[in-house]
Amino acid sequence: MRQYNSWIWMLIVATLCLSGCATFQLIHEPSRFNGKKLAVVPGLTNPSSLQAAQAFADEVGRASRYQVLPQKQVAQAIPNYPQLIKGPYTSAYFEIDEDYGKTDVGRVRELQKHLGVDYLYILWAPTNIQSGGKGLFFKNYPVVHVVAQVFEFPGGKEIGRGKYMVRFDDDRNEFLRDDLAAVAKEFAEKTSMPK
Amino acid sequence: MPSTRVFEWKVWWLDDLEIAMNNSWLHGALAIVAFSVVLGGCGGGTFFALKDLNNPIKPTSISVITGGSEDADLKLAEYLTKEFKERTTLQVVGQDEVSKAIPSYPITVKTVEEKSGEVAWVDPSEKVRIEKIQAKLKTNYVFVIWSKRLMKRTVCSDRGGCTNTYSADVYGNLLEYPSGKIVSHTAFNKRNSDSFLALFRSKGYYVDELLKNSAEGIVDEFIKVTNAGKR
Repeated sequence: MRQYNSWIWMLIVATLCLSGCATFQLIHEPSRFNGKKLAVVPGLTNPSSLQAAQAFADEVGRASRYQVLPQKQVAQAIPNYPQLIKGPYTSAYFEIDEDYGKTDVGRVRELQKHLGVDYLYILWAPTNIQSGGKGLFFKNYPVVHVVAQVFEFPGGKEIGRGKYMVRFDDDRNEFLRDDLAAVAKEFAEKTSMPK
Repeated sequence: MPSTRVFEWKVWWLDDLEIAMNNSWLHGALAIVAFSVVLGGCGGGTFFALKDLNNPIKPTSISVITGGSEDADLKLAEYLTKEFKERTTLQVVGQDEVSKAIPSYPITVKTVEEKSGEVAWVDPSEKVRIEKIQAKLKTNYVFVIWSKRLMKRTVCSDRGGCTNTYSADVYGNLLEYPSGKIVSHTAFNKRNSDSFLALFRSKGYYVDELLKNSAEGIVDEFIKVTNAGKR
């Protein structure tokens, strides 16, 4: 009986951890007959979103079999890049109050026409949290909240979404690659495209 | 990196207050003053002031653009546009139209802050960029607005329960065209604290309220100064 109880507890803990730590959630299975071209697009014009899109595109390229469009090409293809795309949240001051129905899907479809990709990974990094301080042996990194949605084309159906936090290294002025690599790995695995 | 920052700290001052009051009358009085200052603090500054009183605002047309690219900047511009539309006789360009007219909107407009942040002006290097924006929006006035240093402070009592206080510095300049002159300045700090009702409200409710009140305060003063209120 005691062994049975411990198994239940382990299952509960594992479930909680997996559901709480997920950075990507698949809503619809991607079409098997689709191509593999993917573009990562920032939904906001602020530096956090632009940098996160750049870094995430690099990591997805490394972790998956997607043919990721280089950010330089994304910037050239989209007129007036970066463009503001109304994002999946009602407010995002200190944390993101997500509402996935709020995304301007019309604008997403317009962007795809310029990019001609099979998948669009759009991310918004609307705010950041500065959690303070540096010690002799430790450093608390500022944390950037990110919310993302993935759309499949043709059709523009949303196939997945995610909300996660990424640490930012102030000294090097870049996101911690390990954090984004983990997000990219999970995205690749859940869409059955790991390397 | 964006400027939005959170500093969360816990202060056990409710108990300190009680101890101080037990110690002496003077300490008690000081603690009450400090207590009132903390609770009663609701910011301060200038909501809207003309730079030159001899150069009045003509009730013609206006557009609001945000000088920052955070969510708070966008919302503040939205609320200010709404207030101008609803309460003044000026022709007001909506934020959707602004977004369509300006490539890569919102854009970051640099500021020059003076007197330890008491006043902020549009950086002279931005003049040409704002002129181009005005040429697209075709309004006689362009209001540039910033929400800076959005912060959250959490104060907890020893007996349980915490209060979050949100604060932001709001800066603004009204530019007149075709001259391109800055004709007004806005610089104030606004605060808003939550209550137990926060449990039933959306995550951004208290910051939204803070920004709405900021926009309302600017237009209150704008109407007083320009006499451009709807009757």
